[in-house]
Amino acid sequence: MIEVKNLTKRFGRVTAINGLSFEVGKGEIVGLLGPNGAGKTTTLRILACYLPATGGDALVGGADVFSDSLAVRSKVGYLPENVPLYMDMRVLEYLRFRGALKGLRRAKLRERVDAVLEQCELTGERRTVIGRLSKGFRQRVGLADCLLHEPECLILDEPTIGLDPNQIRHIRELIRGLARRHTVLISTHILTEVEMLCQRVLIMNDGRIVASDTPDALVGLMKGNEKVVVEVCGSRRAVLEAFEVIPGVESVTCEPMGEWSRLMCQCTKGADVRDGIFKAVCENDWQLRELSIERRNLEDVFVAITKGGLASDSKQEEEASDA
Amino acid sequence: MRNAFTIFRREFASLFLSPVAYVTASVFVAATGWTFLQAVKTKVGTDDSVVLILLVAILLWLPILVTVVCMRLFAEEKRSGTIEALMTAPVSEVAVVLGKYASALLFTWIVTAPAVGSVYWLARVSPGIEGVDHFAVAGGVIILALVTTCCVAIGLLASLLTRNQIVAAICCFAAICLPFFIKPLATATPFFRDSVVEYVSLEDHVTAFASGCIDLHVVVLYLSIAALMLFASIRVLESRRWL
Repeated sequence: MIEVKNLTKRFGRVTAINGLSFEVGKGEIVGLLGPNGAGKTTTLRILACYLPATGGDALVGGADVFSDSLAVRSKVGYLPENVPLYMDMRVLEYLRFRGALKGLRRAKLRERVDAVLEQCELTGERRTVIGRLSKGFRQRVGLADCLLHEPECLILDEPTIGLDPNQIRHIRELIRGLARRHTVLISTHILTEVEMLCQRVLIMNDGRIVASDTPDALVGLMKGNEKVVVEVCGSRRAVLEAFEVIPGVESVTCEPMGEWSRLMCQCTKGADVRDGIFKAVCENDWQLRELSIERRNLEDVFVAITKGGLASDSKQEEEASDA
Repeated sequence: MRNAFTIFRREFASLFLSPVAYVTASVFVAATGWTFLQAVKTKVGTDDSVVLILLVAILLWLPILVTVVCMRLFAEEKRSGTIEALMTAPVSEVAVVLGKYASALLFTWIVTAPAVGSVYWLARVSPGIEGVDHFAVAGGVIILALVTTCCVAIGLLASLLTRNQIVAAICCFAAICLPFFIKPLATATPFFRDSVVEYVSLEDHVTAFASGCIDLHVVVLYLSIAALMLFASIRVLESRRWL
């Protein structure tokens, strides 16, 4: 559905995106992640035909965003960051206006406007002036606008930014529901959202794609070097001495909590030291109230990749396997 | 063209939703009416055309009206970011420019209509005025419509060039005022021949039309300038996609 090859965008001397290439298949929900200034919004704006690229190719639904811009725009529902709307219009008027711009006429327009009002739970606000709506409702109006002409592809730039947890949950459910009929490319900073919504993740940094895989596979890259958290009641020195000699424990740090101690055991790659810790606790007759492993999540992957840690780790792995 | 009509309807409705439009319209009608009456009082006893006096009164305030109407057309969309939503909808630049232009032009015509009607009101309440020359009024309306057509197109282009409404207003006002100074400037410059000055002089065109003399070359000139400005506006809007 979306094919991007060697896409480059320069603003004067600044290169916003640099030789970007990726593909998004039909019906996929793909998350575009990256720190601020990574080039996410620029990429989405190029795909939505708002900005021209300096070089490279971009196709949406087989149509070129540069030479066949009108065809692309009729296939895409684009929700820009900060959802710009006409504040002086009522919700119904706005959606009718946008629907008419998107080529919907009379009965079809009425039908689609009613459908998206219901889908985005805006029926009760249909006569409200947009300027008087809360941010969450404005976001829904923007999303309703995107869905009006039943586009094949949805491009959503940070659709949940600035919303409260209930509103985020609602928008997330809405987007998940859309996946059955639309291809969705979504840019966001909320990583839990990506883990819950997206089948695939593209991580951008400095205008390039630095990782592209399923959320589980990306988290898998971070396996090993895990931390085990233990809360135990006993002599601190004895506990430290006992834990440090357990095979697989690299280092132990201790945080006093009254009579109790909270210990963080850094493990060597691939080692699971929980059995050894439990045995040591039993042998010394200490009291134990927590023994857990700190699982890696997408946030760790994001930080590691965008700060270069994971890239160097994987390079070392490659070098080791080559050797 | 359907999209142009959709944009026209939204823009036209939004003009009437804004208090600025009502204030501008009221001030314009009051200011032209007052200027007209004061001018008529000073010309009592002379054989000056009432229609010409009215046209001068309207043209004196027209740049301000057009500036207020036009400065927000694109600058406001750029400032609020709605230009992004508009230009990523399946709508051509031609439709956007024509829709916005038509709404601003129609609004300006509606606001100037009561001012034109004041000549009939004056004839009714003043026993000294025997009647109004309808051909002169028709000529005046035509030249006024042509000047407005041209000025709104210039204002639209000025609004496209910046996101700041104040900058847009200053550019727009300066560009619209330029035709009013063409004759004095051209006369003062030795390079222009009299025939050229006469051809482009707004002052001469207004005087001719206010006497009921409708010159086709003037109609073509003003429509050509408006068309050129609209073409430039479309190109400026398209240029976002060029680089």
